[in-house]
Amino acid sequence: MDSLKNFIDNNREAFEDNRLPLGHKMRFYVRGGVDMKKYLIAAAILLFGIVSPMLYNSYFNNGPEKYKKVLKEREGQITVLASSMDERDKKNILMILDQLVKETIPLEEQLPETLSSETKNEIITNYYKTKIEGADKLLAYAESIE
Amino acid sequence: MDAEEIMHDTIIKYLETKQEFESRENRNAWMRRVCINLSIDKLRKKRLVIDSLEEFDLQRNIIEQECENDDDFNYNGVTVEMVKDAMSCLPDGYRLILSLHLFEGMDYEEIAQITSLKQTSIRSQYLRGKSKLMKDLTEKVKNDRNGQS
Repeated sequence: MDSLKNFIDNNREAFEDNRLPLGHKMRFYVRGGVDMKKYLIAAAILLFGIVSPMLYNSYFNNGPEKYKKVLKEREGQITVLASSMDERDKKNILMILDQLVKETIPLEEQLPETLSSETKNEIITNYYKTKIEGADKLLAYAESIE
Repeated sequence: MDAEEIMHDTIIKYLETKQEFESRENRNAWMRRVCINLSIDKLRKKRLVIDSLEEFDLQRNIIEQECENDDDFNYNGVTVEMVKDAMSCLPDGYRLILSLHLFEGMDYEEIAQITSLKQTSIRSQYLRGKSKLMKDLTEKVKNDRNGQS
């Protein structure tokens, strides 16, 4: 039995809690020789612009619960990424995320009952499609500054 | 600064790679391996790993017996910061092997493949490095207790 290994395994979180040196992002961007942040954001937006019609079609045939599940997944991913950012970035990301995912009253409960099912589905689809697209772009941005 | 440079190099390699990853876990494992290889390359360039790891050990059996007694070590009073500090004070070769085994979970065979050294040498160096670490920890705990009393 390796007692040192046991000690490290029992305290692994503390061993991996190393803060990155101040200014490391700027040194990285300079070293990259290009404005990496803008490059990554542009690449992410372009990528989503091309593939989103293919990706999102499968989401929007199954009612609001499926969209909410996707949004919830994105919320979880973005929250995890934001937790390791500096306070300013974290605050900005979480503020935008809050605006995207929060619903005081779900949209489907606000729609008049006189609307046909088809119309309701179309409205719900477009509403959540926009939210999910926004969440995907926010996720890409959060990953680029991680 | 070496560590930061290697971190940057790892990220740049990730951004430049055309490899596709099935999952975040696969991607992270790939990046971890790249980071380890870059770290070893840097140490090799400094010739520090070669000097410490290729040393011929004439008294390997006696030293291994002494080192294996380190498992009786009492961790009362040992803190994570003490272990981190003691690790950072180890010669590069010992620190490399201990880090790969203790933090990356690699066995001696995997470390031998990465470092191109014999498995028996890896084991011997691990035990010696660990013994040196334990001696340093003993000193730290003693100083800490003297400081508190």
